[in-house]
Amino acid sequence: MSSVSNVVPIAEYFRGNPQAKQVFDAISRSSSISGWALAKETNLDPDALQGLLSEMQSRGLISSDGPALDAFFYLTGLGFQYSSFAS
Amino acid sequence: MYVLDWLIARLPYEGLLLMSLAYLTFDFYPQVSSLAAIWRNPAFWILWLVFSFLDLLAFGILYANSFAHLVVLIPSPILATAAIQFLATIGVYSVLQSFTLQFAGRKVVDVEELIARFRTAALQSSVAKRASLSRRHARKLAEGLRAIYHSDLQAFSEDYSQIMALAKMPRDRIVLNLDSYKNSQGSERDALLNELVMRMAVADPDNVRELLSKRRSTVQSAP
Repeated sequence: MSSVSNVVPIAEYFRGNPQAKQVFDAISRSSSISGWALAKETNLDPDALQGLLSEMQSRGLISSDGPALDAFFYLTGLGFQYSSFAS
Repeated sequence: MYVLDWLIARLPYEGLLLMSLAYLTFDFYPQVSSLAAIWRNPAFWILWLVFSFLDLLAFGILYANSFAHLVVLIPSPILATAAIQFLATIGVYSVLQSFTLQFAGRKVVDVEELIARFRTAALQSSVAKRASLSRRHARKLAEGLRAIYHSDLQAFSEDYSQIMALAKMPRDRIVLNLDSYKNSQGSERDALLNELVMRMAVADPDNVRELLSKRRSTVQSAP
């Protein structure tokens, strides 16, 4: 599958979910960041943030080194593909 | 003269490997933000080996065909060599990052896709490494905090409330965490303290570093 067909569904997901895009951009900017640091940076409610992070993880955009907001989050290969496509 | 001859004889290939390393490092750094995480990633070195091999081939071809002409234009042989190194490196990266061979409307060879996939895989390994280094750093901070809070419940309650409130943890959850700690005993209490100080360290390492330094100076100045 080509890069473009990989990233189009992600672009659509972000278009309908600006908070997820805000979280994705924060992770992309810092390269790896803990869930609690993300809550501080994005000013999102921790439970809502955890939901967004789980959804992005299930879509294969981000990965983490542990459970819940105590983990560090970073982009996956697909996340980097989208990031370079979007820029 | 001997040193200059030695440099000219040695510089082409070693300089080329360094140039290739510098190019890839500059390419990765904005997305990883840590030299340690980039250089401790084996996938980065595999990518460097592939690029360096192709770089050497390109350099060999350019050197054999253009060095004599370039030396006429550029008086210094070292500068002429550096110019060929630069052209070979830029050439290899430009070609590899856009090379696609189509036949009958189908992509037969797609080096661009292949390189992009390997590069993103290498980037992912580097940021995973960065996360692991950040956790190691947080663990060191947490060890420092634990040593102080172990015997100072008041300081722990104040600092945990402050750091986690900044990290947007709801007030009732902070109180619940602190109550659980206060009501725990023995090994359960130690385990809970470990978990809570680690949470503080990953949530806000900069503020935690300052707090740690402040608490240490208070402990040292106490009679």
